[in-house]
Amino acid sequence: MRQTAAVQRQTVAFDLGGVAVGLESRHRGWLELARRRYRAFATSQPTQVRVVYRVTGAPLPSARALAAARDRPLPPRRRGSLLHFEGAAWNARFDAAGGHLEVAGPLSTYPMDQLLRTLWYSRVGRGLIVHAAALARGGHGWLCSGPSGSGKTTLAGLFPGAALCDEFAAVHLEAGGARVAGLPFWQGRSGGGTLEAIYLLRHGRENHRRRLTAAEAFHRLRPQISWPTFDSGALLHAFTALSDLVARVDAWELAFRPEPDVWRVLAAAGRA
Amino acid sequence: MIYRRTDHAAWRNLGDETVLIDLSAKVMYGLNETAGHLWQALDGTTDLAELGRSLAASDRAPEVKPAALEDFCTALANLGLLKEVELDADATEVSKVGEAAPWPPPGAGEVPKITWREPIKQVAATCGFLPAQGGPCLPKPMS
Repeated sequence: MRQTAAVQRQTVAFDLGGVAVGLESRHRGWLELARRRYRAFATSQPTQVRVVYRVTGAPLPSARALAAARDRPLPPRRRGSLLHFEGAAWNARFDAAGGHLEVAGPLSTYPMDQLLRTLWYSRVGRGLIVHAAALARGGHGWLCSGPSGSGKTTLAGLFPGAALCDEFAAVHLEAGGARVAGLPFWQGRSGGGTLEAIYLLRHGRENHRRRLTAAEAFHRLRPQISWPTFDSGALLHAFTALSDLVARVDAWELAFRPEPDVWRVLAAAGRA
Repeated sequence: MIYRRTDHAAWRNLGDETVLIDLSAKVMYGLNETAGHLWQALDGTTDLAELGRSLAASDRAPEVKPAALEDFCTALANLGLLKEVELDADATEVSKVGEAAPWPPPGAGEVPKITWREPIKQVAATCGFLPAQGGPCLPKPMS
């Protein structure tokens, strides 16, 4: 009888906006993809969420299928205490209370990108994932949000030393204020800072900012929130977090030219 | 007629507006000032007719007729945000977020209404291409 060597699971651990995630798999090729994908967020902190990924051998969906899946919500099915998700060529079950996720999918990390935001909200009581670039320098942070085409990636590209991410950022509500942290969407690095200001971006001929009321900031930000629609309790927490965030942190509309000069305006809201 | 807010609705006052979230249907609504104050008064302990009388007796919102209050409540009930109940003096709030607003509203009156409605969406669930390897989600590297 031929003995087959047992393939041990190995782990890749990374920081997801303040939540330490451990990715496990027996598939070396997948682990190498994960290591590369999240290398800028590697952490040695004890993991708070454990993900076990099983490579099924299913072919990668076409680019068109993935594009179609881009904005499709992921309503889970609840069976007892577990949430079951299904996406393009993958499925997963999540034990939110235990912080344990099992995923079966192709040799790719794209299923993780869809699930990680769910994981984050399951672990963070008062926070938001925002469609935004995050900048940080000297312990201070700035959240720069807006719809696609408003300049998030452009702004992040102007300040590579300060940019944490250019697509999604994490905001944690803390006593009296907030912190912003980078997320690995779609490029980025680990880091964060005290949230000094929120900017709603648009392109302009000159660098100029206009103060927003809390109500204006709420309405400009709410379409840019990755809402945790998988759970009513998490959704309520996120709604409360957004309401509190705009009450605590100054928000501005920032019209900017794609030149480094904009830093003087951007950082003026807090200590530079 | 007595109305009570359903447990799956939460709200927050933002200036003159009240933002309401239906956690079950995953929809947000904006309520004008009168609507926001009325919403917060519908806690299952006060008859709608009495709310109408107190509004009429005040020098605010003289243009707001009792029928307008009823129309508004019917609209919210049809959306599953209110339910008609028996008088419940022990009714307790389940999902209040933010401070209670007085009734009748202190400002100039307007007919209570829902000013906007928006389903809650998940932004950009995934990149259309392999993430972090180029494509429309990644137009330009940061460094």
